[in-house]
Amino acid sequence: MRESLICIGKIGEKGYYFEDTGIQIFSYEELCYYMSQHMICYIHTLPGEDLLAYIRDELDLDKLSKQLSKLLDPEKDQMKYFAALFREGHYFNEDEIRDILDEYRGLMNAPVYLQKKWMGDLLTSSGRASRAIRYYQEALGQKEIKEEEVGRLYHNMGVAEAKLFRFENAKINFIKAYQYTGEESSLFYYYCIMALADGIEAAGEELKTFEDSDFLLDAFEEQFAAFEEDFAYSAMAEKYRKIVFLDENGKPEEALAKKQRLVSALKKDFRKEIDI
Amino acid sequence: MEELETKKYAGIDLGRTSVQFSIYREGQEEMTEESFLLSEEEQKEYIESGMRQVERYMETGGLRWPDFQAVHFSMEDASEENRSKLKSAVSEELRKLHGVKVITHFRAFAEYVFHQERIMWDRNTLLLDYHDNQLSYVLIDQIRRSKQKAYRALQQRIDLNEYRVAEGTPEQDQNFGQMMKRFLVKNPANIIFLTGSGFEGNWMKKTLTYLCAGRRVFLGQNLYANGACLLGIHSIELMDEGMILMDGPDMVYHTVGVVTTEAGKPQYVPITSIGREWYNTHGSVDIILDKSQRVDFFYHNTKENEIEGAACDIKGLPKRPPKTTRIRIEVSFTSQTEGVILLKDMGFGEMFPATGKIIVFPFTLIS
Repeated sequence: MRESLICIGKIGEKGYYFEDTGIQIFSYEELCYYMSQHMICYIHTLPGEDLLAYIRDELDLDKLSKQLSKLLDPEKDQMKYFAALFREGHYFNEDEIRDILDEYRGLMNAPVYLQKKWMGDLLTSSGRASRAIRYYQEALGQKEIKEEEVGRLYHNMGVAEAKLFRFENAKINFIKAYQYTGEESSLFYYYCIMALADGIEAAGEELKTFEDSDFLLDAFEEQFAAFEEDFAYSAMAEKYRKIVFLDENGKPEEALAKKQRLVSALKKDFRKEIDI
Repeated sequence: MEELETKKYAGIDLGRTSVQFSIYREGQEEMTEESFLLSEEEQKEYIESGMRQVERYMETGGLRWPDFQAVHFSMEDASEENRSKLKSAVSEELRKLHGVKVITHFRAFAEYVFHQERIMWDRNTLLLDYHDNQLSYVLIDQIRRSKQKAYRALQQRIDLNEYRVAEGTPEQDQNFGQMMKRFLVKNPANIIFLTGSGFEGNWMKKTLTYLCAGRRVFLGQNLYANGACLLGIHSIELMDEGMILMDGPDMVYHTVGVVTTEAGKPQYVPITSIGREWYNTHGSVDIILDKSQRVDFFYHNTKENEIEGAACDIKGLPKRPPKTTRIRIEVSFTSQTEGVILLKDMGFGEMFPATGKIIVFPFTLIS
């Protein structure tokens, strides 16, 4: 017999917007899922009272809102807040709740540089590159940090810089990462930035100054081609091809309108990346 | 002096020979009851004629449909054809404001009884409906006497020929009384309602003496309209909880539900309730798919206390992590034992957008 989970509360007419990640949730179940995936955001502070108001007014879960408000007290164990939240609607079973809370405990007890790195990683994957860089820099400023982790931090900071189109900064970070860890992935990202900015041949030449290996160059070229192919099949590339097709087939006005919409969407996403 | 603004509820019983119109005004103990006889010509199209009578009464009395909180209709024959006729006969204003909500006489009586004080329904209650030399009855009795009580309402017809009861004959009172004696021995009742033109006239003497012995007997013609009217105020809690089994034509006695887990224990959660006409039975629930891409439905026959199951596979949705697909399940009936379940992919907010895909899952209740 397969069991279903019955949803509780209402679907909110308005969403609740999480500032850190730019994600909106509309239901109790989405809230539970979001929290379980973003516990790192709450190792120092719990969600604000505005979330409780949202739970009460939009999700129609007054009892839960009242219960959580009693657990907002900084003197109280933060774990109790999440345990109460997760247990209300049986979205997670007891084993899953235990695992999430164990992971939460692990996050709280982790070294500060790791907490900062994880937060940076979360922000990078959530399209918040500028904020992520700040966390990476704070992590690098910690004294107890291991050399291997320094390399990983530089690598991830390189990714965040690349998302902001700061290619020179990104290149420096990838090189530093390579110097600390010796991992080829950092070198490959460096190669990709070069290939995008200066062309594939220039990237190949540059690579030789670090590793003069035809074997490595072939592998990088192949990997880069795979990235290009993946992009060619993406929704974004499809939109771009459509614009070009319309423009070349006597519908420049329609093409322009689509282009403006695409650029506007890209700008909207990019605004989140640069938001500090 | 102007009438104070009070909430009003209307119940209209569209009969073949007359129309009953009941209005309940909040804060007043009694209902306003009106009755309109239809001429022979009007009886040919009694639904349309009945509605014309009601509209005329409303106009004369300065009443408007927006003055009402709810309007419900009751009909002896609430077939699809008649419901459709009624939809065409009502004004657009009424349709838009209140919809066309039709219940059967059987349900209207149950609504009437269960909207009264507990004493009226906590012991056996009987309705006798006598017209055109035909007698039908509704018997409401308690079938579970535990803390959570349950009731059954049974609708049946009595063959009057068997008891030699014929309207207008000198033996009518004698034979009817004899018949009731035998009936009440088998089906004891403490409260009896009498309705229908058959009880009019002054023929009941012995019958009434017998019926009234140790029982409370009520005679009235607006029973169904009153029941329909009371339904508008609020639904019966016992019916919402599935504690009233309505055993009669068009009435749904299966619940359709899913099994969920609460505090580690599997629990059956009904999506639809019993006790209403199939065309008035709907239900909706949102569920979250866990690891599997299928939903198991369970159909509970409350009459026989049997359960059967059916699985619906959900195909064609994008890959998502477990517990990130919300499915809206909507159940409706197309007859007493058939219906359709719609499963709509609602996604999971912004994190996993909905496809809007709808899966249609028809069901037939066998047991």
